Amino acid sequence: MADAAAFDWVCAELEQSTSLDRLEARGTVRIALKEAGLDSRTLTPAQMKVVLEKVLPKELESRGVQDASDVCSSLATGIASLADGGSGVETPEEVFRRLAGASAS
Amino acid sequence: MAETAAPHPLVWVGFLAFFFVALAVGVRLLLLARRTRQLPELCMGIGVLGIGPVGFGLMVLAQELRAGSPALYAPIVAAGMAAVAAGVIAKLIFNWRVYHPTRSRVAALVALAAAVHVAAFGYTAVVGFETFNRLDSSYLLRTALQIGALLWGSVESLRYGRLMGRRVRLGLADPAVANRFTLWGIGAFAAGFGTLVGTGAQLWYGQPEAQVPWVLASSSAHGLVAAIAIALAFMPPPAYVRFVQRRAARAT
Repeated sequence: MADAAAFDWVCAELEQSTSLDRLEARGTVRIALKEAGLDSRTLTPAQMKVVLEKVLPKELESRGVQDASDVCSSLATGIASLADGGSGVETPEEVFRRLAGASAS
Repeated sequence: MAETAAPHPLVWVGFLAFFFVALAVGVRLLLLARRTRQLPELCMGIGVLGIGPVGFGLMVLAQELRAGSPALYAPIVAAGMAAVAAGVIAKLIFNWRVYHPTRSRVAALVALAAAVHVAAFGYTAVVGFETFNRLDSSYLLRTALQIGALLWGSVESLRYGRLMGRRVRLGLADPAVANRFTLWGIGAFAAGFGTLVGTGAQLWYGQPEAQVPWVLASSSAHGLVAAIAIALAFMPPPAYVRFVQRRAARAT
């Protein structure tokens, strides 16, 4: 299963706007996603936006990236325009959220 | 040989709690599956009912009728075994479909495990359902698959619950849903570990677990833990949901 579009987009933008190379950019974003309990394959733009706001700035700063907060803020604005194509696979979270319907029936 | 004193009446509390909670939750899940037409709730419903009240209930009923109505014993055992087999296979499918839906190797392993379970059931049908709890390779295989399906589901659910906990701290997930993963993981672990202890003791003592008081008490305690966890996961009282939400709000 391939990585989600939101993941690829942020990694590509980071590579362009910072000193990080492709491997470093993808690795750093993966670490931020792990910290947030998210999966790069099922990631949505809305989830990535929160990671850009709350987790990634700290990770970028620890790797010596200048103006990490500004970079992330700019990416958070940009990712809002990214369409949520969805992974096409139902996540465990979606299943367990629906199972609550059993108690509401 | 273990001591074989009569079990304390309190020992039935855990079994009865598990029986009625699993019955209620299983029926609710099947009703949900009828509405949504989705596989996960169907599998979980069959799993909870098959291994729990239907399979377990029919086995207990068979034992009770054995002396008075021996002709009914084998058919009821067959029905109970079929229910447990369906429950185990449904749990395996649930684990694959929910946690690893794109991994073909996991699907192949689940198919193999289901085929082995059906073959073990077929073997018991050939040699006679009266021998269903004889400690032979068929029995051990069926029990190992049941324990494996429960403990696998538990590990997956607890692992996902931990991920969900991180999402909750960032406001990315509903605390009640995150808690549901953890509770389901605890319930499945209690059911699987209780079965493991019972089977281990059966191998050690060479007699059914119902004849060994401490094993019966252990199974009852595990049943009680599973019942509480499953009830809170799928039929949570509003006060419990508020408690989970408040606790999450304090942590963020």
